Amino acid sequence: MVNNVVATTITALEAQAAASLFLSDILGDRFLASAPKLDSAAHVWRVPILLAYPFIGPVGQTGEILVNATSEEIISFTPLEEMKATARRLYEENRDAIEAAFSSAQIQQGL
Amino acid sequence: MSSSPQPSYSGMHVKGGLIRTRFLFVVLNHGADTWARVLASLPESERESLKEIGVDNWYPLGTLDLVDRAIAEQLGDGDKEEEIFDRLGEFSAASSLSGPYSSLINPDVHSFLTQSAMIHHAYQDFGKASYSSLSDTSGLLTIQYDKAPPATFCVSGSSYFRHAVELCGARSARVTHTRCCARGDDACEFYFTWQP
Repeated sequence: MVNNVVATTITALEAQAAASLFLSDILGDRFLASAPKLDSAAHVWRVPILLAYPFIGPVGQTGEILVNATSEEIISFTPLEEMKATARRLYEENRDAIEAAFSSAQIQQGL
Repeated sequence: MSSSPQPSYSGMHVKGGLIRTRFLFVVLNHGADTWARVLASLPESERESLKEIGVDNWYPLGTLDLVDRAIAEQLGDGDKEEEIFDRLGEFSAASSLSGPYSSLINPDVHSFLTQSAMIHHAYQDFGKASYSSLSDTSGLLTIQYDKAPPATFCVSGSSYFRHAVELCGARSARVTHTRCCARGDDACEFYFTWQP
């Protein structure tokens, strides 16, 4: 008798949630797990990571997280230092808009 | 993590982003002076920990509760507490769903609520959330807690979700907090209805 084991593909929502939880643990909540794309050949969900600010929204991509298409396991991700460096560059490029949105708040807290 | 000032919430923490949202709510709507008064009304140890709010740090739930009660005191003079937490929840939805959690916004409200339950632990380290759809335009979010969070946490949470569902594009969203651990129930339950 042959047992056919078919691995179930997790949904895009599950992949995105796995990436969000991972980001929350290691990078904090300015980093946003965006809409995943299924890479069937590699059998992974590719989740773009964006830098985002309240009331402004995403300002650009900082990296990518690969989520196993069957287990929600994080397979790999753009090195954290690289994502942080890209985030700093994106912040500088969008500084005026970000500071305008939070001008009164920035007086007290480094946003 | 800092130590919790209230033993009843020991071992329960929230992400700094939730406290930052309170800060933004007060400063952007009521001015920096009001936030200064909120801080001044807190115990010294809490004031110290909130001098710089680390959005990536975890804070004791007791700290959030103290901040919430101080905000209610400053903005409502002890009255209108429910109204203030309602506005706070709305602000929180507008703030987080326009930025760090904007990818959650989904014209399919069931998907939004399903994913919200999945990432529950991104902003609090207690409770276990699950969502089930009941019809095309209704559903139930259940959160199992070992220990009840403050009742005000549920008030702002209900308002957050009602506004969030509308940000997904639904109309006439309603959230009924049908069961609450703070009222002695064995779980917190939020019943959603909306119009497409």
